[in-house]
Amino acid sequence: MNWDIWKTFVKLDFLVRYQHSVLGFVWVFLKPFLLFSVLLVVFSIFRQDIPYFSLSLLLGIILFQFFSDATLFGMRSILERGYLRLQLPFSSEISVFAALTSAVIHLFFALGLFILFFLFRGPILTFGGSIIFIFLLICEGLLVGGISFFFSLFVLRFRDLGEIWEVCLAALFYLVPIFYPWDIVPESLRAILWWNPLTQIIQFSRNAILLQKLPEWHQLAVLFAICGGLFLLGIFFFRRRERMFCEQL
Amino acid sequence: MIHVSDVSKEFLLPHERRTTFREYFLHFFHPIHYERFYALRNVSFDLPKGQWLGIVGENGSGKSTLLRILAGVFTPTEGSVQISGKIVPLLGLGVGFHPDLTVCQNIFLNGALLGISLKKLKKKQKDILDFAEITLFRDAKLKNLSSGMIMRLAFSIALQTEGDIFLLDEILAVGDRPFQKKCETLFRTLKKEGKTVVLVSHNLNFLREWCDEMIWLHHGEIVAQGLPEVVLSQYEKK
Repeated sequence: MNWDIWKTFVKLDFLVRYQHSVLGFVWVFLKPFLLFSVLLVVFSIFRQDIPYFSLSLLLGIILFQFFSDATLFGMRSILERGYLRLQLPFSSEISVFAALTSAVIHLFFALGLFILFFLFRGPILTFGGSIIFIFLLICEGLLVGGISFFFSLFVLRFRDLGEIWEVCLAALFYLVPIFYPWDIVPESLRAILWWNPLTQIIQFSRNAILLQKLPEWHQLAVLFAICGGLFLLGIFFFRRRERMFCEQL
Repeated sequence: MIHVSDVSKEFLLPHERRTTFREYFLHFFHPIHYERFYALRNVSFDLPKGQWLGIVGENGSGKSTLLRILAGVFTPTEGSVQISGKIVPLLGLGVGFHPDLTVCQNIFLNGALLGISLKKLKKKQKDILDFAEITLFRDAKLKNLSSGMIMRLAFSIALQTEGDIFLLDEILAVGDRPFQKKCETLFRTLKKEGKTVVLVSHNLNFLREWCDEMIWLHHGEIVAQGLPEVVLSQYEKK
């Protein structure tokens, strides 16, 4: 793994992404904040049902945005760096990791914004809550990593995977309780929707940080198993099939 | 030291490109016909440390493919390659150059991709610009430079790379006569420092002057191998 190439790719991504936008890097904060503002107003009917509604909403948006960004950047990473791979010998894994790193950096900045809000309006953060939250972030990282490794190769064969995934993400935004409380979900659907690791991550995060309600050990174990498992499957699949797919560049 | 043993490289070229889900479904029962294209067949040679190897051949004869296999960009379908030493793959000029970024940003980008340390790039930034004769344009966007300037810049950065083995794919036809003379002094340094070089070029005089050994590739196979005068006389006769 060439660390320099990884670093260069991440820098290149930021340079190209924000070079020409009028607001430049401010957009990293602005995007979640604007969405948050709109949803806050539109769905304020749920204010009574959800404690710390605004913080809960913002956290959900940020965690979902990370999922969306990481999987989209990750999926396109090999295609974008394809022309380089034809002239320089590096493992395509680096492209994917660099894309994931960019998404993580975006996440950290957005979390910075969240912390600012949290300091003004939130409850006291417990040590247990923070540890759990960090653990949940790691789970989400593994989850998006695994998905990215699969998608980055599949998109070489099926170029419309990008559009299809964007539609899936749009649908997912409604299937995950971001702007509505979990209690609204009918009992019959809860079991199915709960299988979505992203739902678990968002719910556990909110409970841990805002309500000081920590999840059970076995719940965390299941989540970790799903996310870790997907990551391992993704990376094994990637390493075995990389060459086969990449020569189709 | 480079040891290439019986290397062959096959590419499967599809006759149709199916790139979307829809295309897969619609044509599920029609198998894709592939063309088996052998870019290289049974290529073998040895190059001791410090020697320069020149490769000639028509367009499409497999020269670039061979260089890419040496660089590690492709893996051979058959055969093996053993290389000891740090490889600097200059398979194209300005790899990673982004037209919307400035000259300076591109120097760091291209330099990093070629493995040049950040420290060295900062130290040699001015030298790179001076050698390429574009010092005034350091903050201009790359897309605003002429292609000649871009090539000279790329070449100038490439000259800062450090390694034991240099793979050059047709990068010599850069710049006017005075610029080429400048480049020659650097080639002389490379020779003196005992670097191993494999180069593909159509500049037969250059190859005659600088190479210790040559290979003529034709349709992926070596048809002549040996001293430059010998190979070139055969090549020029055809």
